[in-house]
Amino acid sequence: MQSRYLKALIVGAALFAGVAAAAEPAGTVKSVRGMAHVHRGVAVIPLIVGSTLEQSDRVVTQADASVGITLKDDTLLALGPNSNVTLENFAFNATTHDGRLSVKIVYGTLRMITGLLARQSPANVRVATRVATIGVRGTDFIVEVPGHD
Amino acid sequence: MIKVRFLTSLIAAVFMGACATPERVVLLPEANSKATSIVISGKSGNVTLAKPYAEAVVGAQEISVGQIDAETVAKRYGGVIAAIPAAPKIFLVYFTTGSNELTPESVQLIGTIQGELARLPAPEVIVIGHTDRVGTLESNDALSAKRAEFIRDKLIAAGVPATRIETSGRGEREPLVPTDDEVAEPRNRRVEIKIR
Repeated sequence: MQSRYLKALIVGAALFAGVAAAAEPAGTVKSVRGMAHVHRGVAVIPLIVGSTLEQSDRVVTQADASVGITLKDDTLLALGPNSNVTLENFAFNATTHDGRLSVKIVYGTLRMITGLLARQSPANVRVATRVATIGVRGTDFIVEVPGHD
Repeated sequence: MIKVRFLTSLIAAVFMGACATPERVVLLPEANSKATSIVISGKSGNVTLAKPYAEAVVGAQEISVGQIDAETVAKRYGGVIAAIPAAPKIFLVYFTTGSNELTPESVQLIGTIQGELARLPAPEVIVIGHTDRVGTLESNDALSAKRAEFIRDKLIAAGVPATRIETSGRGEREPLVPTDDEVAEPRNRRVEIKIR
């Protein structure tokens, strides 16, 4: 009985630690024009300047909207109007500059200026579209994926 | 023969257009004129874009590469181009030899940084310490972190909100002046203040 209680406690603690780890910020919103939201799990949160983004966040912009984001490794992102982009994977070690970045654009336009991760390990930085994968050696590019849901 | 081929490609183009609008990838010029390139991989293989305004048109079956210009890019993508945040700015601060005191120029620099911060949306300050190659990797990691924390305290004392500041130590990994191991080099004992 006691050991079951302990197990539940350990599982609970592990879950909590998992949540805490996932909540580590990956980037900061620097500009918002029009209406833009982040989908995080089941939550949908309007974005404002200063909002932080996490791994697995999906950012969606409305017509005439745009969002500018700076990630922790200095990668710069911009979403144009009617866009849907997921920050699938982000990890960055500020001491070693190791880590990875993958972004998926479902539809819309995305501009990326690569940062420290692409400089240190370009193989760990990629952008996925519906039909292609973009490997990045540097530095500044736009991806357009037609469609809207 | 030419006519037939033209007709075939015309039909193919119309057919493809009817199927789906293609995805597009455009390489933009690199501000520091460093080499830049991206590789696009689809079902049919890979293409590399390495010139400014080179464009890959990615259909479900094939990828074609063309060249567009600044005007076309501005017209098509003006909104997303303008939304990109400002590039981070880096300032270097130095210590007077053999002391914990900043040089007078570095003290002045902290004032400049505050002015710049006031103009940034959701400003962040990242303080990054560096060492030369005297000592072990681990001890230099600790030393560089300590240097960064020292500068963070100076910034807080000057009125920069503590919540805006992050510190990290790069140890001896990123020398300004490359040296052999165990060589003392004052120019590598520095702290970067990055604002973005």
